Amino acid sequence: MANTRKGSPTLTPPDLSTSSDLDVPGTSSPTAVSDAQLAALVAGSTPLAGPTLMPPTAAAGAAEAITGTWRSNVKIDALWTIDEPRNAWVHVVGLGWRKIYNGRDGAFQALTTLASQARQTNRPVNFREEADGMIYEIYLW
Amino acid sequence: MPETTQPRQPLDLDALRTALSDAGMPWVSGHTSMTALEEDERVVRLGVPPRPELPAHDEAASAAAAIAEAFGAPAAFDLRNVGGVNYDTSVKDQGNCGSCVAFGSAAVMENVFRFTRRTTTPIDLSEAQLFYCHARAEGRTCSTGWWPDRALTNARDKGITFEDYYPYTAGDQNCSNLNADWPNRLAKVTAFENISGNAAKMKESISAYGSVTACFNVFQDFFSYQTGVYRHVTGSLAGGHCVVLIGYDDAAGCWIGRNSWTTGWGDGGYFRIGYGECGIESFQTCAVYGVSIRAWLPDQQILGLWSNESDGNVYAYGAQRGWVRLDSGSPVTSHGMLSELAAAKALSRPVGLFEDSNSVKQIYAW
Repeated sequence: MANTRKGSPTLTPPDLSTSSDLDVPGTSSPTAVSDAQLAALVAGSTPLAGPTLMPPTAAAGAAEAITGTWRSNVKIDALWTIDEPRNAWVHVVGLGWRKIYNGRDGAFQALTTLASQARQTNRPVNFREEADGMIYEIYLW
Repeated sequence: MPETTQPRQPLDLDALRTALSDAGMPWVSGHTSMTALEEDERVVRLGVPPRPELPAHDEAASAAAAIAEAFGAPAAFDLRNVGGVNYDTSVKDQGNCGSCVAFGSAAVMENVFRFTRRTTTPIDLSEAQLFYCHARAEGRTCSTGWWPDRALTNARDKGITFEDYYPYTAGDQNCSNLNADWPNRLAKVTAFENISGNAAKMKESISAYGSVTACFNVFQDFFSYQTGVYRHVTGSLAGGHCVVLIGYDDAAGCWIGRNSWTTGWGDGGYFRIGYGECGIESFQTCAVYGVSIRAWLPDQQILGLWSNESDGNVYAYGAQRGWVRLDSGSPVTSHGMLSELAAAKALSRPVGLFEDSNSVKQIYAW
């Protein structure tokens, strides 16, 4: 089915350090944790088969491949959030910390739920990250 | 049945064999479910007013169809084998009624539904409602036939229910057998287009959406078709007929069609017909660009969940349904559905989804 509301955001997230607006997305980031430290905290997992399913539309996939970077069949092994508006991060095995898109409440909530579910069920995900370093799109398999 | 401009000749299989031999045996004839019938029974199984002005073989149409690959469509396509998956639904029997338009139109809807979702979930739409309710409301009967563009207009504006809510039997009826709950279980065409005479668009539509409807003039020799690429060789015009086209093959120069004359006719109910033959491109051809349903989808395993940076833009992948959007009335609503489906997915438990107009409106997660 066609995703009729595709497209990348055109605005850059505002800098919280110069704003007092409580609805402005937070800008803090998790303290760096080495992969070795994480490995000690997180139980190892058995690799799962990669996704074999179609994305919602082939055309949409083609467009996304041009505008963002896709990471396929990866695992999320840690989560982080802070009491700032729409500020949550996920730790991706082999890649490190990535911030979840913070432009809209509904999208932030859905993406965070998908990431959390991936962590809880240890299922693989495909995600798209944009030049600003945030995750804009998630497939949970 | 609709009038023809030529006298109808009874089927002469011996004469046909001779004619085929003289023509180099382009296709194989024999006894079929149609040759076993009387002439009037055969002719009533055609259900589109004929167009005798169309040539039996149109060289220009054939040539145009042959180069359609140049416009971007693949050189061959068969809905029965797309990457090893058969998205075509089953061969049916219209029986002793000129309801072929209902069968061709329901078939294209079923096939578009399945192929555009890349699902093989069973779907069987009611030809009976399409013909005995919608066509009847336009004054059409078993003896007059109908037109695919009218059938698809009704399927778009009113929808048609599923076979179990109005099972098909041949013979004019007054629609009284239609289940009163049908508005809660139906399929609708979301968009269609009359693409008559445009072979390139026919190929594009078949390869992108799975099928198109097509009509053509049926000559006597067609009744005894068994296999090969049909080209008219002998016999008079019997009438006009509607089928669903499910593929094509440029190497063989033909369209692949599914008829509604049981599996006892043709190649298991299917046939191949040469480009430019009997008006197959130009008679009346309709492309269907989408089919939505309103119905419960039981026992769906959730295999995938998806969202992006747009608010309330969440999809779930049901094992038989494919990708379907969760209600986008508000981000909160779609997130509630996402949470419940995520729980079911985590537990590998099936869910029930009520789908309407291509989005999920209600969920049971046991």
